[in-house]
Amino acid sequence: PSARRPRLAHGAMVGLATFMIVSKEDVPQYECDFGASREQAAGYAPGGKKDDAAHLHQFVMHAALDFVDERQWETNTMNLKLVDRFNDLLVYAFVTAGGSRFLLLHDQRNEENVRNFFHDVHELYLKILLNPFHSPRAPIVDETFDARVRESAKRHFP
Amino acid sequence: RERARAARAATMAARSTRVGGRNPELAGQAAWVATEKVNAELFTLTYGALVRQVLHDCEDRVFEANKKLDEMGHAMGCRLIEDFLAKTNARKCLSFKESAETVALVGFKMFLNLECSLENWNDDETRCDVRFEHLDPFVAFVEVPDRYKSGDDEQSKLKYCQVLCGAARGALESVGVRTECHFVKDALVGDPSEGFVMRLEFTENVEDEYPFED
Repeated sequence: PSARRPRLAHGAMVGLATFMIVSKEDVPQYECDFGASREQAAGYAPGGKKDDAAHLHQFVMHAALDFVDERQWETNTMNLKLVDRFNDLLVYAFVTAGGSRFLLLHDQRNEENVRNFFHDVHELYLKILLNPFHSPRAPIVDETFDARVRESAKRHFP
Repeated sequence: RERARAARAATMAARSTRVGGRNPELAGQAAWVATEKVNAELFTLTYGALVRQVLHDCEDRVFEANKKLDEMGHAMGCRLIEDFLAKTNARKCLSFKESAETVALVGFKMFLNLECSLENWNDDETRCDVRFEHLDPFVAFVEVPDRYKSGDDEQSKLKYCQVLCGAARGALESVGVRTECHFVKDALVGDPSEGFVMRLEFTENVEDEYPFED
């Protein structure tokens, strides 16, 4: 269950939307919905329903995967920074050594925070991978991982 | 006279690090320092892959998997004892207590850098608990899935570190001491705050087999 932020006045600092981990074969491994983003507060999603916004986020992120695939060969760092844009939604990406993609859907330009967040999640992700009982393509269901990712998000995106 | 004193101190030091001497911890420490090292994470990942493969081969039957891990440990222990005796200047153990101390305080330290203590001895001195400060070479980063740790029956829970128990058992059997060895407290499948405690219990002395009929 994701945190439900109260409707904020337009123009207020709204947080991020969604974070997703997708494996090399485009299989989603983890998804984390952080809360309302601006277009929901502004009633962009028809009826302001949470579900529609969530669908939109997912769609935008999966569409961005193509750009991630292109971009990852242009640089030798893991953090790909901004890869795609949809209206006022920004997609940031990070590619791990094993080919898993971290995607962050956000509506603010704050590369520093995004970089730190990706770094934190990467460390958590590595600990999950080191578990011999974890299959590389399996969904990540560990509650501690989920809790720590949310914690990290709160810390970097206040 | 200074030289004599220094020589005596050196022999005393050498003797105290000798296995079977009065200080098994020191002997263990000295033995550890002298062995070749391998990357701990490599060991952890290899061991994890081993357990995973055994479970796969046994088609998730935990009881069989535990038995298989124990057998593998036993085979390893029989070989390790030769290595141990060759590398350390070990004296013959005169009691089960000495044997247990040698295995736990010297052997485990020398091969795996495991710190442990022997406690909860019974009156006969035939049974003790080996409490490990940590079992990181085996269990670092490991989370056992629920399907291997559910069930009230102890036998249906995965004994992740059973290879270690098997090794202790195999090593002792090769030098004539039959034992029973298993974990009574396993933080991976039980209460994490209780840590890892292995029970080592003496069963009988192995009778020397005569190679021919009389």
